Amino acid sequence: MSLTAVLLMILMFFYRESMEMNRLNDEAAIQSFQERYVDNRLASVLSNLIPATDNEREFFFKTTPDFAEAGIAVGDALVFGYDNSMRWDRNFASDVNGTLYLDKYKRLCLVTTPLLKHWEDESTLPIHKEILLEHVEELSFLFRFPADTMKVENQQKLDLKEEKYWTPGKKLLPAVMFISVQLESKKKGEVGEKRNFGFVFPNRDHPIEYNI
Amino acid sequence: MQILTFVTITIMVLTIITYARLEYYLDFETMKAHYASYMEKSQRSDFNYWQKKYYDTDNVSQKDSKPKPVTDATAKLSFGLILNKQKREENKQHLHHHLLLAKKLMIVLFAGQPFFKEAHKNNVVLDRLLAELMDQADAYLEMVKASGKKQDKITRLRELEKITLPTPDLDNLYYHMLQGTARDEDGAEIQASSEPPPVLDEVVEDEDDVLRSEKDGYDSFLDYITLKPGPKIRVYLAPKEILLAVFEDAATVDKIMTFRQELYNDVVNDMNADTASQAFANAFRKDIPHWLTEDMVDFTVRKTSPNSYNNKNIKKGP
Repeated sequence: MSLTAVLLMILMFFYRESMEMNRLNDEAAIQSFQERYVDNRLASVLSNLIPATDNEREFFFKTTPDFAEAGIAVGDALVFGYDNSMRWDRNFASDVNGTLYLDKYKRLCLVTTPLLKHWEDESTLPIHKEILLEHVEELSFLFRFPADTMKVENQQKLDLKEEKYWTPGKKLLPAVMFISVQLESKKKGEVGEKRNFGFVFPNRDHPIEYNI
Repeated sequence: MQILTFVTITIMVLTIITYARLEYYLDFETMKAHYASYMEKSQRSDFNYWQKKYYDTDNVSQKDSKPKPVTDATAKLSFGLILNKQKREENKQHLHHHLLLAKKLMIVLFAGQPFFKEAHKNNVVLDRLLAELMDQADAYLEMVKASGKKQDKITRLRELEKITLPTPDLDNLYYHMLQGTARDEDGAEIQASSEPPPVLDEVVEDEDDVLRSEKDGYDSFLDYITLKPGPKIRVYLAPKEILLAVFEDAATVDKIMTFRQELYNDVVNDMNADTASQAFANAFRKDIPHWLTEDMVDFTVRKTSPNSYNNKNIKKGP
């Protein structure tokens, strides 16, 4: 009888452990897929940025506090033009305006609108809003860039400048951009996890030439 | 004894449940490992693909600073005339040829695609599409001008993606033609067939006969046209699809592609480019179809490799 009780206890313990492991796995899977989704979606958008070197297209890439001042966003928003390729709704085809920001409901949002030159009445501008990630406490940007065309020899460490804001005056893209999101903590009083998404922009007018 | 049976059954049930849990856990771990491997290898492939494409296209002036000779011939089909109202009215004869070539190119590119087969049951659909496209391109420019921009012509091919055609059937056809699909690396080649390509106003129903089947995917129409105003087709550099639209015969196109590669090798090895051009023209001038005038085809040979203009290089990303 005692042996049976011991066996049952061991099994129950293992069963409980297994359940807990499954729960953690499910949580990790959900979180991982959410992050991969953000990463892939942003990579697909940011890989199609309008290059500053193309004079026939409307280049813009900047951080702006305008959305926060209008009560739409919390903190700075990143505004950029990108090529959205062919879309059934032609308003969102080809070159469009993208805005990445954190809204007041703690959601990381990507808003796409047509370029104003294709739209006469700004008040009826169509908007396509995507919620990329929820439960985000903070959104921040970090831009790294060389002052001029840079040649990197084998194993040489990159000497890049860093800025947290990208002003409209700079008609060029950074070399590297990091988007950091601070996730909401599940326990009160604790700081949530931080996630960084990095993107490289080779199509800039001050390229980094690698000699590896 | 009854208790022992009960306990044994309980243990067996728990064992089965535990085994199921263990299986689930192992499956998840396996999936996680595969996923991690996939992300390591493929996550950035699309990003890298587009960045490489931008590098190749946007930095041409930095990599090749030599001024290129001005030419009135293009490797792709020129839409500069079709989309410019003033030029259309000035060059009605050329416009007719360009529209005819555009229709033939559409058939070469999309004959195997279900959306095209369905639309092309109506024989005049391509004429209607091109007519509407010209009208809507004019309307688009008017709209851009109204927004205060000083733009009197379409300067980028991608602007064609902004144009909506007024009737749903034409707009559906236009959307699919411009959209294109990802193409399988192995299936990307046009099938080398001795059969002639489908003729205008006739869509081949038998899938074995079409140039590119549905499963291979298809390129965007934008990959084969240009806004450069050149009225001539540069046979030496044109992609295979353009050659098929011009010469209408797969065997002739294969010969052209083989011969131009040989000429390229000769020119690189110090053969005079003008002599090579003359030889090229002599070999294939007779194959120019009757509906196309000789002044629309250019046989100039230069030291540029014809392979560099092959459309294998402009496939859609993964």
